[in-house]
Amino acid sequence: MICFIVSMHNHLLSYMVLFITIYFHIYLLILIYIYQNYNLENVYVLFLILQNRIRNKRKMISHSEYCRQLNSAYNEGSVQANPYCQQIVYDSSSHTILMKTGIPSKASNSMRLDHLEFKITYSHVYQEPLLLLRIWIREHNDEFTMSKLWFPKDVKQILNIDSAFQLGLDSISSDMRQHQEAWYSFHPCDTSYMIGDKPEYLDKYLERWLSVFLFSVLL
Amino acid sequence: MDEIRNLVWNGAINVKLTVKSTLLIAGVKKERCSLNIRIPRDIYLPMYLPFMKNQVKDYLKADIDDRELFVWFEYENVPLYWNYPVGVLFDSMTSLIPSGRKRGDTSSSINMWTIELAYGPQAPSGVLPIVKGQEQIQGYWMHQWKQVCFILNGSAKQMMSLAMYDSKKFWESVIKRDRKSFEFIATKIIPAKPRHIPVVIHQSLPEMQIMQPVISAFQADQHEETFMDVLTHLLPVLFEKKGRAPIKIVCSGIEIPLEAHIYETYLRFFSFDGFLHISLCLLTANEVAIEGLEN
Repeated sequence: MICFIVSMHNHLLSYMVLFITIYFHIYLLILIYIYQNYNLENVYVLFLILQNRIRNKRKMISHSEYCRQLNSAYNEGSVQANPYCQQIVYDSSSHTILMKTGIPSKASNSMRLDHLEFKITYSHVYQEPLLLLRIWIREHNDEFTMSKLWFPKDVKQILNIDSAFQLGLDSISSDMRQHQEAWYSFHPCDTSYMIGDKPEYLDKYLERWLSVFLFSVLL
Repeated sequence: MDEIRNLVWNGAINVKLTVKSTLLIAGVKKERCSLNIRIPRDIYLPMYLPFMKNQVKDYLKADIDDRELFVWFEYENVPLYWNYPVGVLFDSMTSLIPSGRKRGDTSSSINMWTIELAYGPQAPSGVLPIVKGQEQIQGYWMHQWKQVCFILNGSAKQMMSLAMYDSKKFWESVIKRDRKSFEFIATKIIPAKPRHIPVVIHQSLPEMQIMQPVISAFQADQHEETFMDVLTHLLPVLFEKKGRAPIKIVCSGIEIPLEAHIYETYLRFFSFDGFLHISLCLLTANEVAIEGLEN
């Protein structure tokens, strides 16, 4: 009887090991397939989207809530308090903040850089805050020095911006009907996943967003 | 519907590309470096830039491959926003001079759209500087589709779940003008019941404006939205029924009735960037007389 139990136990163990090995190989094959065929950033975001859908949680910030929180952030001085901030303009009609900053210490090639220009606005498509960036460089003439806009192709390397951000040159209208301007745009499609989308974060959504997006660039 | 899609996809414009005379080497005549090419309506203009540069670079004062120089296109000294399809730029810009549209192609002549290549140390305001060549154009196009996906479905899931092979094939279908492959992937993104419809309205007069309104497929009473519904709300001065301005809406060179349903029109006329581009064009004198509108 004991021998039978021991033998069954051994069999069970070997079956379990076999199953685990098979499952492990299947998972490995799936991971290899995903790695070869899909963009890993997209897979991660897709995983978060599905997870979010299962949990049925809020994903974005409404325009009115964004306006309220932007107004509070400006009045409390949390944006102005950043040590790199040189000048700030809050437009309460278009609900945007335009900000001139110094060059953050982590930026490379800083000799040529003059200042950065940020704009905080709202994406009606993604229903998320939107961060825009422009770089100004110094240009020396025989008689005077002037600053001009610069659109380098390797902006992320120059400002040492985290690779998690998707940054691209985009044509932006400051309002739905205004003229277009060229800005580097931090693409907002995965914003809520980057900053956390729990309902209890809603009251501090913009504050969290500022920390992750704006202040992480200004280090 | 398939027939219309085919016509939209294969629509093309005859373009005469020249270089601004101030940028040519002294003594070189403008005609010497003009190029006649036929460009699909559904494509970005700078996708032809490497070819164009190659043809004209020997006649230019400066080396346009210089990293400090920006290149752009102009129509009658107005810079063109390359980030919209060529056909949309043509419809919007030529709408400013309606009499110019009167003469169509005949058996012995064809209409040409003359545009100029320009360059300088700063791109004009609003024109996206091309700093990464074809890679930048492809990236921009992909992000347009992400926006479209978000507008239609409320999330970018359908775009994110495209395999790399499909994403690559999607872009290649635009380059190779392969409609079958393009629509195969586009239909994975466009749902049967959209949340909103991605529409861009291009207005040239009284000033250049580009609007991207939020448009639902259906009104509250479940009626499908028409262009009249949207435009009377968005531009009441131009589209009020009484005293309507002499304006028509044009998509892919075709006049669309104001009573047309937007989603049905979208499915037939959506552009290669996933948006439905609508140009507001001035009516010609003949068209005004036919429609009985007064200025």
